[in-house]
Amino acid sequence: MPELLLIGRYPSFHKKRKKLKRVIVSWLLATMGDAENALPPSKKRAAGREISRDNPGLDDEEDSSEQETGTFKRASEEVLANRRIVKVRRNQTTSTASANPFSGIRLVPLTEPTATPAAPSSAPESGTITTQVTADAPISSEKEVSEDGKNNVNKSEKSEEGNDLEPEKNSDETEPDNAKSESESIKQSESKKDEPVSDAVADKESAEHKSSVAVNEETQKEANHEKLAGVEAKDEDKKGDETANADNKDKSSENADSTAEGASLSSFQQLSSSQNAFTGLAGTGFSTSSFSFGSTTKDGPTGAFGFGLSTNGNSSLFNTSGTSIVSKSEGSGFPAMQEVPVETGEENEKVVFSADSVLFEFIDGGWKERGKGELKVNVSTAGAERARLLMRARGNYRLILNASLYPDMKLTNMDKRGITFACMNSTGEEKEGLSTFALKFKDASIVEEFRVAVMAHKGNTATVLKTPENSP
Amino acid sequence: MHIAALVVWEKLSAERALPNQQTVDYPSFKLVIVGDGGTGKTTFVKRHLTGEFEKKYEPTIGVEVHPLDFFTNCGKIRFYCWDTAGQEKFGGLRDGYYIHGQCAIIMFDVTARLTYKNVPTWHRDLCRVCENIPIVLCGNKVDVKNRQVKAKQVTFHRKKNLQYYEISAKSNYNFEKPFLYLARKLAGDPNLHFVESPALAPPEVHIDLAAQQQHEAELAAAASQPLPDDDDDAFE
Repeated sequence: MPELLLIGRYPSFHKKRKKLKRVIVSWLLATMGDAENALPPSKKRAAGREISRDNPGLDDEEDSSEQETGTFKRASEEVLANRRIVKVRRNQTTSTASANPFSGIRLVPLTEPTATPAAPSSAPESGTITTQVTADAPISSEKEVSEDGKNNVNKSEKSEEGNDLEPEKNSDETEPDNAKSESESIKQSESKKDEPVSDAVADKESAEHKSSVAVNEETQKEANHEKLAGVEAKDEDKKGDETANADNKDKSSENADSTAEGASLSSFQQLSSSQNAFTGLAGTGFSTSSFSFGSTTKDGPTGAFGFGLSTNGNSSLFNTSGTSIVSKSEGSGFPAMQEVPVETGEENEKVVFSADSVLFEFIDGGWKERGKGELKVNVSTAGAERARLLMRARGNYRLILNASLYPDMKLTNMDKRGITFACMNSTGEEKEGLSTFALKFKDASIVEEFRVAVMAHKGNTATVLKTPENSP
Repeated sequence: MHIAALVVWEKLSAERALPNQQTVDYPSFKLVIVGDGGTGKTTFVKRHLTGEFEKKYEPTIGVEVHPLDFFTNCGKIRFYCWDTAGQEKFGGLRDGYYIHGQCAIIMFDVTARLTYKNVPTWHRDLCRVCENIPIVLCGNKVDVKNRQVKAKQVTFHRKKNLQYYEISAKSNYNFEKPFLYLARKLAGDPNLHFVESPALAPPEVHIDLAAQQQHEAELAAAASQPLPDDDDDAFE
């Protein structure tokens, strides 16, 4: 299937792709049993559809229409009797391609008028396999199915990659191949929110995992398996929606949202990332990815909050450059952020005045606001007495005023509960030198309190007078 | 074979294009801010950068990039805010600016319905380039009395798993929330919060009367100039 993905990215291969699709579809159909069981047409956005700026309607489409569940049974003997049995020998036996059941599909045969019988190729373990081919599958449904199949495979690959990432990030929390622990941890993370869905999902996953183990070698059931993956993805989507619906602004809701986002990671919206394409090329094994479906959805819910999310960001960052980059991202991307002690710089100071205020700076003949927040007059408690004005913006705690009081500081009252003065502000961003600032307080009485506080701590003018320059 | 060659080439070029743009010794993230023209993207960024509230509308041409630092309980982080042009005619590289975006803000104006209607387009364009990044949807100007887009009518974020905040760059309502949300997402820590930026002791100043007298003219001019009064709600 990787080849198919590749081709999807290059319009010039459009024709070939169609044929290739047909090839793969017929193979899918063959393995499923009969054509009646073919997957229903999916509304899911397909690579073949083009969207443009003028046609943004896709955003309103619900992605939830997925394939139905169902089992596929072996076709009856009569049907089988009507089918051709094709034996195919694998041509190339390169080590990487051997894991890929589609490795036998080459572009060369596509130019032939009928591509159908060429499709089924090799199985992972044996050089030769036997497959039934339905020659009479309706073409119309073929295309739909092929697209579905493609989506699924795409998903699986994507999810596997997510899966690869997950244990690295989260090694102490999750065990990659243990579905049971997975579902447990899912339950844990979900239980906080009391969502019944979580159990269902967990069950489904473990069931799926079992099937993935049992089915491993049988190509016939592989299609079945793919379908399960689709169902699983659907569940994921549902869950994502539910969690996202809780849309409060408190912390818990952000928690929920994060889970939703984690889930969306495994619902694989991007069907044609180059990452997928490259994975295919490198032959990391389509078959392995398809067989590990059971464990694929792990990354969604388990990343409950923590790193599932950063993985999310990570993958988006490095998606475009292939899997090999992802490992690099560990170092350069998002270092696990550790709690650090907060230093305000006010550790050896006491607050002698504080009030809500608005700070303005006089620039180019006009007042520019510098922020709203708590203004403080701080006096040092260690060493020589020093006093300063300190103000941080509310909300982001940005330092907007940090200026020493000085003995000659002059305060001038203004209209509208304001008071103005000159000082040297050192918040790290301002120009050096004196600038004119103004503070606006809630009411005039606070302005006076501020004035008193500054006057009391601005320092002794007498000490200045005693300096050699000023003394007679 | 050809395809393989193509893909290998693309892989290499992608690798080459990947910038290792960490220029500070603490985590930094590229934040893309998009949305229709006049919704307040630049004003919002400016509000954070300098504290001022710019009333004048000057369309952004192309993009303006501003580093914006926050102190958190997990250390300092930096957002490189890519404040993009909202007006199509000044769009510049458009989604070319989104490349390697690690988080995004989509802004609309709750007093202009069309700006909300265009949100899906912005979202789609963004997601085409940046897959699975944390995105915040912001309805700006909620301080305005008669809004056209009510909070209940905003539903887009639900199906796309975005975080939604009603904000006002004018009144500062929720103005730090988008950054806080993104920081939490990027750090993978739901309990991350902003903390006071450290205020080192300012240098010992020697401002004598002479220096103040030089400054006297400006002080006088400043004292006579009334303070802006948009902020009467600042103390409520």
